[in-house]
Amino acid sequence: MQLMKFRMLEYSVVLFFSNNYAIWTSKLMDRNHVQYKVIPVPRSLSSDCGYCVRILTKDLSVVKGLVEEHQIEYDRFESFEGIT
Amino acid sequence: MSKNKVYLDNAATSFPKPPGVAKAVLYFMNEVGASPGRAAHMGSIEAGELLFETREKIASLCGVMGPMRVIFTSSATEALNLAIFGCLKKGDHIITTSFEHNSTIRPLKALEEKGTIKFTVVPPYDKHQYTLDCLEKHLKPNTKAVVFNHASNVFGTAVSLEVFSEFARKHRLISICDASQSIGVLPIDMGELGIDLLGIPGHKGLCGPMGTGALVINDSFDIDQMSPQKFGGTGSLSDQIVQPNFLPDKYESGTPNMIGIAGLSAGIDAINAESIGKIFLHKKELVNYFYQRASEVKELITYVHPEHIETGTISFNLEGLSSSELGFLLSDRFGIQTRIGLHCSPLAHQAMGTFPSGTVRISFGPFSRKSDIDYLFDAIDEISNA
Repeated sequence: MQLMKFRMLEYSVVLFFSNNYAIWTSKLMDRNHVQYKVIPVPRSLSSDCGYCVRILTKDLSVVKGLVEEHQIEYDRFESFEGIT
Repeated sequence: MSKNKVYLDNAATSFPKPPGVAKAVLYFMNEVGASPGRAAHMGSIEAGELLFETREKIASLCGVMGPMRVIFTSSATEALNLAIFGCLKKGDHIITTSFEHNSTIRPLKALEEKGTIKFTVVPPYDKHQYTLDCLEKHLKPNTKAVVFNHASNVFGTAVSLEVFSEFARKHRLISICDASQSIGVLPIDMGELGIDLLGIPGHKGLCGPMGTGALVINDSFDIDQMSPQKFGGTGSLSDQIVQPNFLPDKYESGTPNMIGIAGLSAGIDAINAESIGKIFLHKKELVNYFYQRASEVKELITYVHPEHIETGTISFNLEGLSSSELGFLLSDRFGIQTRIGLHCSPLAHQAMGTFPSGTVRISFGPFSRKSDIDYLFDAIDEISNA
């Protein structure tokens, strides 16, 4: 079997203690026209089985600002190489 | 059995529902179907978004800023059980009212029988209203909370939220409000008033499906004061075997009733599109029309002046018949669906002098019409002249 070939890219991800907060953050992104994707938490970053929000690293400060403005509890921001 | 069908039991559950409710339920069942917050596939994310948006709608309706302060439950009863069992501790004294539904008075009684708390049922200042003075007379040094029903499910009267919230604020009590009959009909701004915990059903004034409800927690309420009553999977902190201590996960374990919540979301949209103010006025108009027609039937007994009825709920009796006989005839011969007896609220009937015989209760919804009342009075005329 030949595996599909993927292009990898450097992203940032926001990790949350609860998936509810990941969805809240994704809604804020929608409303503020920030690109994102909700993805499974990368196993290299956490043993949690939920999801996190993947963003473009260039949007990091905008997203940090939004999350903090709305007092959304989050675990941490991480750099992450993921499938595009 | 009558072939007609007139539904006047909206205080039990609203019917019919707005058309979007069944559509949303079917869409979720047929097209989404996934569990929210438990996986990162598209179905789970869509379910999670729906769950979040419904939280936002409820928070906004209740004057709360944080959407995570909306805890989904199976009913207002479960929400109020969480508030009461979660907050009250050994040695606490509680103040409550004569208009409580069994959804609050039974949990209080259960805690009293276990020797955990004591509570005082405060009679109203006049027939159905409370003042700060009449509540303060019953304060004790160990009074921890005030548990109160916003609107009576039997008589449709409402207490002043301002009085109860001022009482709680002044004496640093936890305020636990049962808004089963008022949500979707009367405005409730928890942030403005300072009410700590509000139990709401999803299937009455909000027109969602049965099996839905929520406990709404004020932004200012310290959640360390309320312990969870359910423990289990939340989709968060899965590597740990202790219950999370953040909202809403602290109080929400197990897969939520997404089918119900999908319908509830559509129900709230319909209520918002119509506006709570318009629904309130519609119900007021129907109550006034009922009383206008009632004045023509000398055998009909009512218990509250119509100007005090806030939620479109009316209790009455007909001389010469018990409430059960009248309720049976209305249903069997005329297809009019009412609720008879004590309506799970023995205290309210005791306060208003209708215990233990009870009353016939009719309760209007957004889709009730004057013609329903005309039909009811045709039936009452026929029964009373038989």
